[in-house]
Amino acid sequence: MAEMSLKIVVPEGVKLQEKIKTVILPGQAGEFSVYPKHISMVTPLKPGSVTLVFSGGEEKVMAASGGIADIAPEEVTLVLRTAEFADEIDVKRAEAAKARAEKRLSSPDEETDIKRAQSALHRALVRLDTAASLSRF
Amino acid sequence: MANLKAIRKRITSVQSTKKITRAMNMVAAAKLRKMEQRLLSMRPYADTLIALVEKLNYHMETIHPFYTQREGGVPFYVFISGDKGLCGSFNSNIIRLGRDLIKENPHAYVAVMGKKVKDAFRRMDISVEAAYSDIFDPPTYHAAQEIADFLSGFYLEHEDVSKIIVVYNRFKNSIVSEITQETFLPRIREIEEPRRIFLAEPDVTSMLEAAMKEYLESEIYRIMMESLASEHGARMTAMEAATDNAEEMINDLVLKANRERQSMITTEISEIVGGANALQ
Repeated sequence: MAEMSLKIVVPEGVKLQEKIKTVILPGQAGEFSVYPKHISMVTPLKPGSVTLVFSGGEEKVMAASGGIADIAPEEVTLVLRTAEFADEIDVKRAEAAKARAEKRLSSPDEETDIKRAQSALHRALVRLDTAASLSRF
Repeated sequence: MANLKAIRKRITSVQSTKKITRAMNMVAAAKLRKMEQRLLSMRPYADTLIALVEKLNYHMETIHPFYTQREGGVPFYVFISGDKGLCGSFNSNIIRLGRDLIKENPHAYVAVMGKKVKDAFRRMDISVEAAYSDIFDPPTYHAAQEIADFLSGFYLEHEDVSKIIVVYNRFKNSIVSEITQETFLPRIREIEEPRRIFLAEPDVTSMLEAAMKEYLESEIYRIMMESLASEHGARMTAMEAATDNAEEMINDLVLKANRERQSMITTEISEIVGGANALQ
């Protein structure tokens, strides 16, 4: 089975460096899968979940908050602002963030930065979604 | 009698000051270690981004404005101090250098980060384009983003800015930090990446913009952490010296108190002896 190496870097360091079979990424135009021998490509990523499929068929889901993917035939590098495995997500915190963002959006005043609140809501939803995926596997 | 009491009181007060300075020394040491760790682990992120920027740069037909050297114009200085004091000459060195640089270049644009330099410049009537304070506890990526966006936007809007120079305490090790003037914009190409054919979605230009933005943000974030690590180092050293001084002072005062007590006893004895003699 063909493999490629995946490297995920976040400001806190190298999050993961491992051999994988496939990775599903949240692209600007929707999710897309990357298999070994993919054409070299650089593309932005939206906040969303990243699904890793390891050689043994095992799957892992991460919540990522946007970044850049640098894809080469043998190697994929993801530069992400944050990346958390599903079991690392602080669900309570994400729920609180979701409630906060929803409140700000439902009763906006002059001080409200709508765009920022929207992206905060989006990030919270991605985290909750990813955390929920744990029970799926 | 009054004198001895005063000295003892003084000893107690110096002792409690010593306790505080020792605690501050230990807190600074712990925070320094943490910051050092974060600085180190930040490196792969910044390295990956700059490699990406360089790679994209090679596929551009034009040179990105952030890589174009400008002629003439005035510099834009960004001075970074800490938000808090009690760290030796950490803040005052930056403030002094800032004052001198502005004297040399009275038309230079200025921005400040950190409460100390912000307050000092306000007192000196130096006008600033932007002032950021309370951004170091802890330094957040969000603050770095805001500052990087402001600086790069300002650079693009103002053609008369020759370069943006960040003046800060660069972290070398826990005892040594060094005031550095680093050019934030324009950038100079550092890595020679071999030309490789690749696809960029949606296109090279917007990918370069995105990678560049991220890289500049991570640069400001790194600089903030370097400055903060230096601040903790400076505070650690300053508080260690203060603790040593307090120790020395206590020793001196104890000696003085003993001497005072001894002379009081001597006086008392000679009074008793004198009194007994008078009775005979």
